[in-house]
Amino acid sequence: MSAETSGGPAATEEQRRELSRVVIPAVQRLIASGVPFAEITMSRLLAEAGVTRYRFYSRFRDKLDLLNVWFLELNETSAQDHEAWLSIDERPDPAALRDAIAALFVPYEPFSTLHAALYDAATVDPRIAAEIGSIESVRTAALCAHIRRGQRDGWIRPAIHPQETAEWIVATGSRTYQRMLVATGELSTAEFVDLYAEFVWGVLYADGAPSDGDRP
Amino acid sequence: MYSDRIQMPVGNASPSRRQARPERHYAPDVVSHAPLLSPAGHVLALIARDPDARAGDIAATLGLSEANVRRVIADHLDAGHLERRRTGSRASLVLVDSELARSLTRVLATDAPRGGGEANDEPSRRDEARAQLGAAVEEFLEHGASFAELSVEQLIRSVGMSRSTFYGLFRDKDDLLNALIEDLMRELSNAARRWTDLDATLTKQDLHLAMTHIATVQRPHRRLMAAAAASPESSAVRANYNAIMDETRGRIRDHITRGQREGFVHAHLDADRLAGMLNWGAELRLSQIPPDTDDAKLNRISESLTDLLWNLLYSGRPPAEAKAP
Repeated sequence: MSAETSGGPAATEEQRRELSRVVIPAVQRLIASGVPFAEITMSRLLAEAGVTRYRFYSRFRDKLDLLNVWFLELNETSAQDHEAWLSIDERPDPAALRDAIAALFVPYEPFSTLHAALYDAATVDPRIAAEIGSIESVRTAALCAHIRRGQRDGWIRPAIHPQETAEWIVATGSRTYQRMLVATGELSTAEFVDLYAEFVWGVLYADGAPSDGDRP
Repeated sequence: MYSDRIQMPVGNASPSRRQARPERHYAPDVVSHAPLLSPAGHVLALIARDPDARAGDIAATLGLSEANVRRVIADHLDAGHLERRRTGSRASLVLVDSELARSLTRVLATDAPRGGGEANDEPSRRDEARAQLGAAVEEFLEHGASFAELSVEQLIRSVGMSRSTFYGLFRDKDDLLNALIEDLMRELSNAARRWTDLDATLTKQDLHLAMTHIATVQRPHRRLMAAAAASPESSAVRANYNAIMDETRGRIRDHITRGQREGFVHAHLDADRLAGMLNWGAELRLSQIPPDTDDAKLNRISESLTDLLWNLLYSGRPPAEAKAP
């Protein structure tokens, strides 16, 4: 994380995370009680969390900064969960792929309201938008490596562009999650996972396709 | 609940929005052009168009008492249709029910006549001004300005337009953004038809041509797309944007359904959800393309999209095992 996004000069990332684990549950309780994130006042939040103003501001610049710390930590966890999918080293069957993709998204499930708040914040705060973007580019790079390996070993469609296809898959997952699940609630997490697993399976792994010969 | 009394015209909200962009302040007779709305509906509609509107102004516009307007607002705050949001020192009301916001925006856009009579008489001049201003907006955005910081003054100075001409054509800066985004979205939506109109005879070559066309239409406009994507969830821009996205999704869904019926698209796919996913994925990915992308790179992007769709929808993979549980 860049210096300008950190809290007080003395706050280490570990200290910020430690305090975020106290304050984020308070944010969730307030949201659950019907207060939208944007309307949570600092005094209400501090009272709910039992944290002094001084302590809060020695760690975070503001509410959004807090949200950002939470998001980065959540994504580190999710990066480990990525392993379940991207460390696969043979053609998975669709059920195994679905489980691997579920491991990736299910950890986010309890946080959908915070997620919505974060995506909202990204529309007004370029730093948060950049944070989300950089997390996605890390995912793209990992997926690209996975595709190259699969192509080398013969269990991913040989004719697809690894980098471009990885970008399409990550963009599609991320945007669909944001719009169809977080923003509109059209899909549940399980439905999203089904849909995305079906998509990824068809795009990368499905075999028996006589089509790869007739590229334009 | 008031919302029960707001009657939406079903299915006839044809988007002649381009010719019909209402003014910020409604003359009393304008209200009669949206006769299907209850008074509460009118209050919500004005809030949907202008989240910063004050109760007093709304009351004056609609010929209601301010107390009445406040009561409607309070009821809808309680019911969760409206939310108070604060941006810096400015408080505004946001219509959180996006379905409702979209319908209201459509009702108003369809029914209210456009102000600035001069503009009605000379659509070509308006189109020309729009193209000029659009190019200027994209130029500013590409050089790092955010749409929020851009002033009307800057814009008209850069294209040599007078204030009165600008305000004869557009209500304000957001109205301009809305018009520009609508133009782009219509163009993209039409481009997408090159794909969705394809029938059982489609080849991978056809698909590739269609994808290249879509990517080419999108290429110069990434900043404009980003500005649209960054507009608040219940703004008029967003409602308009979402409505056009829904339209495109509908066409993709119909294409998939037709293909399934005629046997050229895999039968097990969930046409509607998949259409939603492909539509949103393409929106994000295409809006990441920088305007200076060369043709070779653009071709790689469209080719990879072609492969993706071909493999996912059309190619002969074994359907039974392909279904995820």
